[in-house]
Amino acid sequence: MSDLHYLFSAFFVIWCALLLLMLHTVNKLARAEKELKQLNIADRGTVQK
Amino acid sequence: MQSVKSLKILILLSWLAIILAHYFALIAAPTERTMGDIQRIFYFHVPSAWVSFLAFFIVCVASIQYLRRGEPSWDTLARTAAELGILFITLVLLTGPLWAKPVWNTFWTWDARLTTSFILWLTYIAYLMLRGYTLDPERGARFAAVFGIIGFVNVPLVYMSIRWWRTLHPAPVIGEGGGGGLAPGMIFPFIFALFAFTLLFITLLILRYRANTLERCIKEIKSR
Repeated sequence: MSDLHYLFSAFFVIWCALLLLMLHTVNKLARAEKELKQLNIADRGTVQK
Repeated sequence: MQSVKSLKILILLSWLAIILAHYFALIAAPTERTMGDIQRIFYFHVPSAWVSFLAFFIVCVASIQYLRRGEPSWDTLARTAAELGILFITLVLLTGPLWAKPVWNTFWTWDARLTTSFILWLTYIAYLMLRGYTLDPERGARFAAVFGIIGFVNVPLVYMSIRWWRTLHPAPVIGEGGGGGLAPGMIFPFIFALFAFTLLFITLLILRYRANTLERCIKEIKSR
């Protein structure tokens, strides 16, 4: 393998890791916000009843 | 609403900085005389190491605060920083061998810098495992806080290893004054890469801290 293969392998690894981490984080946050919203609605519903 | 907008701007800015850092590292920076193009890995290998050290420092400080005050928010911050620190130290351990193979003719050698970095990675993997496998979450958080403080001892050891022991690893470029052994054209791309990685780390830390806090709230509501 030439130097450029190693260089681009390293950049590919960095990009994949950072992109996946960002997507995972945004998705985790969106899911948590949605679940908390649903729980709050359910909680309020219980109080009203 | 305002905070969501500013978070989106922060995400955009950090990715823009990362793309610019790639431009400076791959195109604008001069080619190193002895190592050639492979040396360009340096612009991401060193910032990844710096960010992981910063993350583990946050783990240490947040763990001390958690033990002193007992507020769960400090524990969440320590956990979040540990998760990110592990990712960045993994990047260091992956990009290092890709740099080493063409330069040293081997992917890995058990010299002081590489071994201490590997131990650092193992330490924080153990930190997350400890949290995951303790049945009582409060007890787990306390154990993890002690572990997070003790684990940080290895960080200065990793940093100083190339000064204290004879190693294959290149000489230090940070903290040696005047940009260390860097050529003038390499200093700006390097500083910019440090800035871009730090900005991305801060963005990820804010986002993940928020997500982990919400998850903790959900668990508390469900356990009522």
